[in-house]
Amino acid sequence: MDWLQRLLSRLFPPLHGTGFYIAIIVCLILFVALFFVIQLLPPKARKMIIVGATFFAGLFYAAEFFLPASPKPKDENFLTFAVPTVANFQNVLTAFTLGLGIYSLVRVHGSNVLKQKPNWENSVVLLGGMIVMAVAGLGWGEKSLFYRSLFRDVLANFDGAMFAILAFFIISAAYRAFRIRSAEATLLMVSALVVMLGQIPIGQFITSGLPENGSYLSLLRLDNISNWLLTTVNAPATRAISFGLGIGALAIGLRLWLSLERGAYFEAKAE
Amino acid sequence: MVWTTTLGVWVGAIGTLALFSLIYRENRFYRLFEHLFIGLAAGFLIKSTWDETLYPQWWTPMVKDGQWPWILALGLGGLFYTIYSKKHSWMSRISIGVLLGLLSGQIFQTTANEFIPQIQRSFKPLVVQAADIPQGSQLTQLGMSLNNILFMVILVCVITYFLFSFEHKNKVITGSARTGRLMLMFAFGAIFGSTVMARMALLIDRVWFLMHTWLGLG
Amino acid sequence: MDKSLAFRMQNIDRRILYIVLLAIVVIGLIFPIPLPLAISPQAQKFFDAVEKAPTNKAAIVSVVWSASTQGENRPQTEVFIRHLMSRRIRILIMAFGGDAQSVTLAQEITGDLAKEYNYEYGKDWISLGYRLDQTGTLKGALLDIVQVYKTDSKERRPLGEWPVMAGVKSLKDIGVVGEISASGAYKNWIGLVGSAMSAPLCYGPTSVMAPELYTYLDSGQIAGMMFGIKGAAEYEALLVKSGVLKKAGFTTRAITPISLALVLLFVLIGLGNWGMYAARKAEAKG
Repeated sequence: MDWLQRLLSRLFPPLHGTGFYIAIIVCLILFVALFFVIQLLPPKARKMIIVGATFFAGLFYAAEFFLPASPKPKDENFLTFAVPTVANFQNVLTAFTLGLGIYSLVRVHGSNVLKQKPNWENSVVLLGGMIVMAVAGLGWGEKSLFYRSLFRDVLANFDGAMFAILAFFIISAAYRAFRIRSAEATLLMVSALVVMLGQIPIGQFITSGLPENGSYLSLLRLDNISNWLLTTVNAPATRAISFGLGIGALAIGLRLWLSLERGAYFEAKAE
Repeated sequence: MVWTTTLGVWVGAIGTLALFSLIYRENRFYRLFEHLFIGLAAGFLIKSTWDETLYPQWWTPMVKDGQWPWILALGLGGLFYTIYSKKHSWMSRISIGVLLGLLSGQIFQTTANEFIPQIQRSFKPLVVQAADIPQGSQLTQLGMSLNNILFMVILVCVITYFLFSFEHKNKVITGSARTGRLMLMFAFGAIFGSTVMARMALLIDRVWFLMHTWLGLG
Repeated sequence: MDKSLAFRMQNIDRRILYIVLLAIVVIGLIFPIPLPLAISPQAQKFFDAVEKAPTNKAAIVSVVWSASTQGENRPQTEVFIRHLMSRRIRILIMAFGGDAQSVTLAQEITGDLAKEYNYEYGKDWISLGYRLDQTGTLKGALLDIVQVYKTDSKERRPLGEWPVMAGVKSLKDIGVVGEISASGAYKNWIGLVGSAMSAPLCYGPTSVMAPELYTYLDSGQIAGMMFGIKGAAEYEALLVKSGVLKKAGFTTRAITPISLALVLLFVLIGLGNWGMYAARKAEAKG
């Protein structure tokens, strides 16, 4: 069962000292060579590389799931051992995309500062904030009070405030836009009213005189009606939506895996 | 471990007020603190990506444990940056393809594990026996039967509403789809109400910070 | 009917609405209304799952939220961790999501509570760290948590060296899992590892997400749920009832302004609609 694992550890054994540096340098040279070689390929071959890379990356998890596994509790096949490593690789590869965002931010705001465009002072503040936070975090780390306070008192509070503003807007928008003009709007309103009243103590107080259990009257308590609406009416409706979403996600997943998806990214010529 | 300082709280409070000033109207004070927030968030992202992902998962196994094949991640990750060269930008699609492939390869397992139990549990007993009633439930056999019937009717009606593969001409189908749409409104009502509740909770947290942590009230 | 009054009811200046809302929140926080909160079956099930969790197994607290939703997710995380600590259950913290704030916030909360319950880092609790990609991490952790995380997040020491990891090889060795989240990350737990784990999966979503989780509660894929801040307040009430907490804290206090704000919302919607119908009626009369 673990033949692949043994083969890989023989082919790629851990190296230390000079051997390690040689391996890294050789790999880097190979990367650079490969970079220039694949650039020479015609567009059709380039597309084949992209399609192949996508397919084989997806094949790992798909095969690991579909291939028969050993009996429980082990429940593994010959690919299972590699799942943690592939998972880490996926994490690392995702992390490498960070530089794209940071580069865009620096390019846009750096240009604002250098060309002294209107409100360039804001760009200075943005770049300064970014550098201070990164240096405080990477330099002094979480053990320094400066970094902890910068995170907790400044960043976390600002983040909370940005989203809290939505509370004002949602009240204003609901008041202006929520006009009951159709059966659908009425149902939506009634549902929102009953569900929310049933969730809050002020609403629960309205029917608090009714028995909590042991009587049919308990069914009329707002908290029970609210819970009933959520579990018996809302649950099947959201389940039906999630079935639709699930089928859609499966279709999109397949199309991405097999490079059948259309659009600017997928149909652009590999030139 | 101490996490806050008086100066930090003052900066946090002034920034909170500045960001709240947007509700009156767009202003320079808001813009300044908005930029500071984005800058700090970007700085934090740099710190956390290195500290939480790249250092422990890539640098340490490669350099400290001697697992040199991890250099492959640098090669593949570096291809993302070809996006800035017109001549080489096509290569970024190799790395993007690998990421998309890894994500899409999991879709079979996700779909099977997420939906099969739900499909199984959708076939509820329409005539409930005493043994089917969960322990502690206040429902009677009749009550639970009615609930189950309603559950299944709503499920079928909402699914019908989302069937776009054919035109809804048949009366049964149009009736079912219409009922499905009305039932969806109940779900959306619940979601609307709970969205408002969520936003209020965020506001209350900020008001409490200003009142309690900053001004020492309450 | 005064047509201008009806018109005015439809067009109250937004700044007046904002001031009323702010006033209601401040008043509600200063003068909480002492009304009891009914415990929902979902919060009770979450509480029961933790209550029944074996004390010889570790628990996972998965955090997928940043400070932007701390108004709801912070109290949820606090009550959950407090309950685990009161039962002396070992805690492993995992952090995911688009923002790595989750790990720092969770470490801060757990560190503060650890002092109260005499929890020692590395022996009773540990922070496994933040991962950008939840799907791959969970799949890997189902086989080998140590291999996936390698080191802890605070001290950066090899994970296998910490006593808290004794007997914990994979997610299959966990007693209870609770995720506090502001995103749809529950699908990863359910879809990738849920059926392979024996531990119940409990969920603490923001209120926005809560309605969509009832279908998973019905199918048994999620064992219990805290419905946003209201769920956290219910959990806090259960902690008070069971003697873990002496008295309710800020979470319960926050329910009054939430209630008042919701009442304000419905009053405003009512006023707007009344204004609309009154204006229409007046127009019809000429």
